[in-house]
Amino acid sequence: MRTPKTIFILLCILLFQSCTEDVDFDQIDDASIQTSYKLSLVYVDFEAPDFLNIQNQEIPYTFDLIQTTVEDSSQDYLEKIEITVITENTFSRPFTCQFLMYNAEGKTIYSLQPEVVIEPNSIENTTILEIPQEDLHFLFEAAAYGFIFELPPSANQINSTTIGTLSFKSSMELFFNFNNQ
Amino acid sequence: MRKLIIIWSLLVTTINYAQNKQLLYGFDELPQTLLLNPGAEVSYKTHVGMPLLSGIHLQGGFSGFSAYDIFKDDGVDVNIKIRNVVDQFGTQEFVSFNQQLEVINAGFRLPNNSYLSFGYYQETDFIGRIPKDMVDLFYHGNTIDKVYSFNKFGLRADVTGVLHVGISKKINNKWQVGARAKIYSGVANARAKIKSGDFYTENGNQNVYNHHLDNVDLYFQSSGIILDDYDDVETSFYTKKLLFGGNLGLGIDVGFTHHLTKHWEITGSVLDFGFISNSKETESYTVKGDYQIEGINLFFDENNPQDYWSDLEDDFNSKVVTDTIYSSYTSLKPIKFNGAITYSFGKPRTDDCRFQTEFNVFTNRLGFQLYSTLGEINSQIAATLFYERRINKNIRVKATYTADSFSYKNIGLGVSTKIGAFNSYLLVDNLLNMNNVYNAKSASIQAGINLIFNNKN
Repeated sequence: MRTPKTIFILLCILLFQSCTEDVDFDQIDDASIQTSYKLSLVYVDFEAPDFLNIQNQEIPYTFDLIQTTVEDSSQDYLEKIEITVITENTFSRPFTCQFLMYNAEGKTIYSLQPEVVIEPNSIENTTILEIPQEDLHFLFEAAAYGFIFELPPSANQINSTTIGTLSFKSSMELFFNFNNQ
Repeated sequence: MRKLIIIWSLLVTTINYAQNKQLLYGFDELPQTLLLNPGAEVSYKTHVGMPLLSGIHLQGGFSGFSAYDIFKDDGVDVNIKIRNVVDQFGTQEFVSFNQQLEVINAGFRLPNNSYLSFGYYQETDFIGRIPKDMVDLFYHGNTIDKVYSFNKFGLRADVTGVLHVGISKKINNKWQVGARAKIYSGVANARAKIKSGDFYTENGNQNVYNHHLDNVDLYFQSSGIILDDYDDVETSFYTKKLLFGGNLGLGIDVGFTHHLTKHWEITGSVLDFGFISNSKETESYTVKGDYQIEGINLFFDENNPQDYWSDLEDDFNSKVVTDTIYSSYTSLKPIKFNGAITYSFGKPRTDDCRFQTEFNVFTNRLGFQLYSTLGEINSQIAATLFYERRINKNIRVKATYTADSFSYKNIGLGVSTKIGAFNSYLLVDNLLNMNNVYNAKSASIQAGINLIFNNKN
């Protein structure tokens, strides 16, 4: 009977000894995975005719629109969005650029600040804009996203003989914080 | 609630691995060994498994890390521990879960001395293969110029009812062979695999970044999962499917036992060589193509406004083509191979009449087992050293040491008791983690109760 007793004792040791070491599952409350994703956004290359009307007069602004909605499934974890704008302007006049968000009725609900100022004859210039967390809900409420290039009053207006380009590139970085809060 | 779900998920994924049943294979002539080797030798006259209690099997695992790696109470910031497990994540890791519940299991000896066994069990099986690049992309974001390959991703999930009947026949004193026919009734099946597909981001020319989706080729197949209306689905919908109202299939197991000498024997089996024809509630997708984008090129043409987003979707869909297929498909069961060589030695101290009908009565069995499974998502191999001992006429134990993809230190122990006709067994592995179950990457437990009647019962 010695062997069965030994087996029995071994089983008891194996099965009934302390089955865990100290763990703290409440640490999940402090866990967060912070990550970011970089995405290209919009780009455009303007030349002089793009800023002239049919009478070859300089227009005060030009405007374009992307109509879509953004799924809000990730909204809880999105902390902020950084928009990087890279411009290069060989015109001798300045421009400003604005990002706008519109609701389904076409009403402006958000204007990203500050507007991007593009200096005359500026070589590659980078501007970083931020949509803070408290404003992110506009992104998901919007039904269209607008881009306005304004031509402020200038002594060097564009005409049909002006040679120059305005290059506009943009990207965004989405900053997520996946946590248990 | 979310915390509970996360903890539950971690615990579930840390208590199991694939379907290797190294402790049960060849152990103590248990009726359940016939399910692992239909050519196994059994010496009893008849057996009846306790309905719903004759075979309960849970097995699961995650090769990546354990719950203890993250939740140990060591004062280290949990986010540092998460970063460590992400950094140590292998090129590809596996998560698996297998559950079997025997509903009926019975057998009896035929006049020609063959043993006929039959029954019905329900099985849930899941395996997923996760490539590190997918984890890196989620955890670190998209790093410029880093190529993320998803071609190792795959998953398979099955819920099946299996009706089986098998026979184990003694050919001569050296050979015993057996076969088992199976009818599968598939409740639900899902398979997904990314055959190829890379994603990377590089600095662009026209815009800041240029994103590439290269050589995408993936499929997802499902049956019994995507339904027209989930509101009307009741439990009976699934129970009917378990009882042959589902997608039907056929399979076969074959096996043998060969006595090389009085002391040496080899055994082997091939299990689940079969298929299920999925024809009910099927929905499949294939996605193929390449895509490259630097962003949206705006035109600022008031006279010709563009629907940029719609155009982008159309362009994407034309280059990365998704086909939805509603036709039936055939899913193969992962084939399992078992093999063992055994050396038996030592006469029992009490050679009671209960064991006298057995082929050779020895107290000890020492051996080596190999297990492998071949599947489209994942193939695995495991090697086991075992020692089995008859303690007395009532108790037999088996100890195993197993090396597999998940661990090189898996120690298991099984105990089978027979008191009269009443047999019970309990098989547990990964005992080295018993002192801290949270540190186990895999584990399995099998238990059951049978009534076994010998000639003299």
